[in-house]
Amino acid sequence: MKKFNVLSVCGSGTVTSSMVAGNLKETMAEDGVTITTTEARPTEAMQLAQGGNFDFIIHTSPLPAGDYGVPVINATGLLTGFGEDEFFDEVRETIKKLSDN
Amino acid sequence: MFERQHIVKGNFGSFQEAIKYAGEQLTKNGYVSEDFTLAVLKREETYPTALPTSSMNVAIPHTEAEYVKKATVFVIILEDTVKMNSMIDPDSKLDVSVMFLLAINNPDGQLETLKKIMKIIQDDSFMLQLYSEENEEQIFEMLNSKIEKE
Repeated sequence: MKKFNVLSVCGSGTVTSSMVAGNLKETMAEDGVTITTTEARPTEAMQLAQGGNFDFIIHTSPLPAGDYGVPVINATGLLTGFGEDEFFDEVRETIKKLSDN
Repeated sequence: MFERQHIVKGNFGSFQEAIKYAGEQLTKNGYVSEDFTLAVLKREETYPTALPTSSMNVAIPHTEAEYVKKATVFVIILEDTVKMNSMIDPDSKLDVSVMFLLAINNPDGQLETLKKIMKIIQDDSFMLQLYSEENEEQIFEMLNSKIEKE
């Protein structure tokens, strides 16, 4: 089974990041992909991403500009229902690319 | 999660006033500490929580767990919409019709609750019915039976 470490970022590093992380884990489990998540605030994201433990980042609050070194995916579609399919398309594409490398 | 005393339909003039009202009730009822309201308002300035859904704009104001003694969700139906900044694009404003003020003290333990809130706000016909309902008692019943079904 494929396993990925995901950094989930929102304003307080708790509520919405947990909401979208839960949804991501459940949906990807159906694809046979195991996701483990760490929740963080936008200000903590860069340092955590540079630590090198994460395969990609999802976020519901805007991230400070910069090079995170890993793919960054906007997860607000999971909260609104708008663009939920697009979010999962992007996640699947990212996972495929990461798996091919 | 929903409680009759934590459902209100009315006019508040601004989102700050709506949050202050709900925060006062939550403080009085022993669900949050006294600085909860201020913490929610401050957080909203940096990380706004209004979300456009396909039926209407909603908002999910919240703050850190340390201010919450007992988890609950305070629902405010805004007869006249209030302007709030968008979570997706913080520089743009949205006219918000319904607010779910989240008092969450253990996000992992309340994940199911949070996921249900996500499902509720994405259900267009439910949200439109909820918004048009006049009676707070009825609004409470609707939310309760909806959350049991999800």
